[in-house]
Amino acid sequence: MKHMKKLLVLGLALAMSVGLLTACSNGSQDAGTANTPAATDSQSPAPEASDPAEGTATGDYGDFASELVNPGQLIMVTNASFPPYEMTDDANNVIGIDPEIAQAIADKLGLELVIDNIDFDAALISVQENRADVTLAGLTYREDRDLVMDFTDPYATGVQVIIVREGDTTIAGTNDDLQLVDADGNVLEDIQIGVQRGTTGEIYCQDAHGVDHVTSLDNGSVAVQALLNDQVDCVVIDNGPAQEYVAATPGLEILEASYVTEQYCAAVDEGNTALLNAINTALNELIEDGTVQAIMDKYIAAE
Amino acid sequence: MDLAQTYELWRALMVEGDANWWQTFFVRFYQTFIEANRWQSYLEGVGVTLIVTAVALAIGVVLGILVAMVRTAHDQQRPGRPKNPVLGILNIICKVYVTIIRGTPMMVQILIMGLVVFASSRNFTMVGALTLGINSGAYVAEIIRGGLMSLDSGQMEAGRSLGLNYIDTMRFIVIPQAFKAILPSLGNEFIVLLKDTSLISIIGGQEMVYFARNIVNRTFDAMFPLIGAAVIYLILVMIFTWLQGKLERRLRQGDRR
Amino acid sequence: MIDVKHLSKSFGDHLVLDDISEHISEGEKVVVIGPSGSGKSTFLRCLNLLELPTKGTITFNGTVITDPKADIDGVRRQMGMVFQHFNLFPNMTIRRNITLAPVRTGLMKQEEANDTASALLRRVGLEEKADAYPGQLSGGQKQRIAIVRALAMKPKVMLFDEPTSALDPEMVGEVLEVMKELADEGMTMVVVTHEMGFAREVGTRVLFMDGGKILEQNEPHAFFANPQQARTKEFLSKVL
Repeated sequence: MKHMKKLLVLGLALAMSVGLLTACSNGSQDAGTANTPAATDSQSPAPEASDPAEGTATGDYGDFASELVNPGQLIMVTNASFPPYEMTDDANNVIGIDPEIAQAIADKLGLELVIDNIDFDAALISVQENRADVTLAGLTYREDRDLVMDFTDPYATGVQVIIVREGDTTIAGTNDDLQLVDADGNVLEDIQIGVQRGTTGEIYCQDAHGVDHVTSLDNGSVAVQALLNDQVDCVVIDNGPAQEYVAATPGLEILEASYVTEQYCAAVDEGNTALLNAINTALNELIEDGTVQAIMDKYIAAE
Repeated sequence: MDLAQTYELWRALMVEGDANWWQTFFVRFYQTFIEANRWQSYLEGVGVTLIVTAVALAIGVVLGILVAMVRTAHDQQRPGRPKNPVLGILNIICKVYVTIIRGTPMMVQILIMGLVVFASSRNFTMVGALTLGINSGAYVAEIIRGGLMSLDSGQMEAGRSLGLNYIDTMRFIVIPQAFKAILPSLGNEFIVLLKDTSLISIIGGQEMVYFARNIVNRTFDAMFPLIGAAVIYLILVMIFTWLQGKLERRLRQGDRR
Repeated sequence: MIDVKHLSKSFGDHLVLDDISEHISEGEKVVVIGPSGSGKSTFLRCLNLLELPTKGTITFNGTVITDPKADIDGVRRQMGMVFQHFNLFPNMTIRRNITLAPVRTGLMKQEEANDTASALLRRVGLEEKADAYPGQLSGGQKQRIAIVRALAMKPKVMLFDEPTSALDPEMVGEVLEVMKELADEGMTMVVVTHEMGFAREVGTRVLFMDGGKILEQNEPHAFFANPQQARTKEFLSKVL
């Protein structure tokens, strides 16, 4: 049996390398230019080096122009099913906190903002394969995610919360291991938790209760529907979307006890330090001058 | 050197940005398949995928045979004689079923089944299998009907002219021959089903893609898990294609014996 | 034995049989000839209700088989049918082709049916083919088997629908030979055919059909020697 498993892994490795060779061949030119010079160039600030023709940047953001997918454009990729951070309006424009912050960053860097709204997995690949410059999608930094992407400084605080059906008192909160407990502090063993695929809530719940007790649904609204249908007992999701869903859906409420507090970052391709630095500089300026807070206030009712 | 140690070493290199192509490949491969015994969840996914496919195909074949029987029996009623009204109603139901299933996308069907029709079921995987089965039934019905229709009408006439009744003629003469004719299409349907199981992950059906995407969320590296899932599907499909070819050859040999 | 009254059959607007009345007595060997499209095959297929008449009645040994309540399967068991394209079941051995119907309809037990099959096969000289599949046989062999298959039901009448039309010329003889033997044994037969020699030699009565009607009939010698109708003469002049 052991041998079988090893053989399987080996066979997969072989098969995958064939697949990857083809997958990499078209991405290799940009990967070459994107990765190697970035490490050296970004270390030296060299203000003279920046080409004045490149744009109308309002400050010194370093020489990131060569790191962009398209000259003069900041291509942001996101998955617009995470209100109020990103969602679509009736005309299918991507709106929300993240697009507005990205717009403010693009303005600072003297770039035109382009938004791609695609599936979450595809959004990650998009940045990694240099089809997009940056992703803002309510991403949370985690160490094991750091390998394939570089994360900016945080620009917002996210809280994972628990949505339950109104009047449901079986779930009272969490214990130290993030397990859901009843009012007496007993771990709820038979619980079925609905989460949005790709969120940290998914990871926390899987780690705390096991994969079998967590149902990952394609987006938050499907998870909320499953909760209404009694198909799951609660939904663990970021506070931002949770507020939107509960406001829009009668019969649900958010538990007082929060689940986890974490911070949202933007992310660029691994090794794209020049762009990372430029975005970080712009982002921090926007945080300092209150722009980010103003955008937050616009979408999230003051608490 | 131990694989885990190599992983830790090269991973550190990668964080520093000093890893070469092969080291990067190894680290990404390792964290996608080996780290935290993640390969087990792919295997688990394969198991679920096969079970879901088998359940869906079983439902599909049963539904398909029923629908095909009703529709063929209805169409083969003798002109000039009064039609059987029960058969007429059943035939309309079957027609509506086939039209709706073939006229709407699988993904929409899965969402509706998972969140509306079977809103009381907490077993998303089996709801997914049921949905796939109901979907497959419509296609299998058309495959079977096509197989029955394609058979030379002389076979039915010969059976009936010998005094065999409709059921016996179907059972001993028409269906065995039609089965051989439809086997390739049924095999294709099985393979389509096998791949379509990936869709049930949207309502929380825990098959291979579901597990692969869990891993994506942990590592944010979507390419390796997705290609891994694709390779596993490909291997499964190749195995079943091979088995199907063997079965067909054996059946054909039966003819010439 | 078979009494046909005012039989009409149309496919849509197309009238194929036009008010035919005819009687076939036990022991008769009726040969039906006529140009293609004359309705002779349809007439034959109406006799065992493979085609449902649009109008008229057919009575077989006192049973009105055109009555919707008639046990049509029971009637067909007494009427053997041989088709132009043999219609053997390719998924079964020759033995099973022959024994399936007698066994399934409860006429015989399997062993008895096997014995019957062997005896019949011996008669047509094909006993060594019992375990072969239809795909391994020549056209003439297939048609002989088809006749045997029908005979295994011990029918009271045999219907032949152009039994030699799909055969290579050198195989026609072997099939006609079997049919002649059958006739000599006294079987009642209705044969649609283009084999004028067979009609002359074996038939007790020849029907000439054209345009959905029986235009002329007579005993074979007189029919061929002295046709009455212009259409008959014209047809015979072309085929003889």
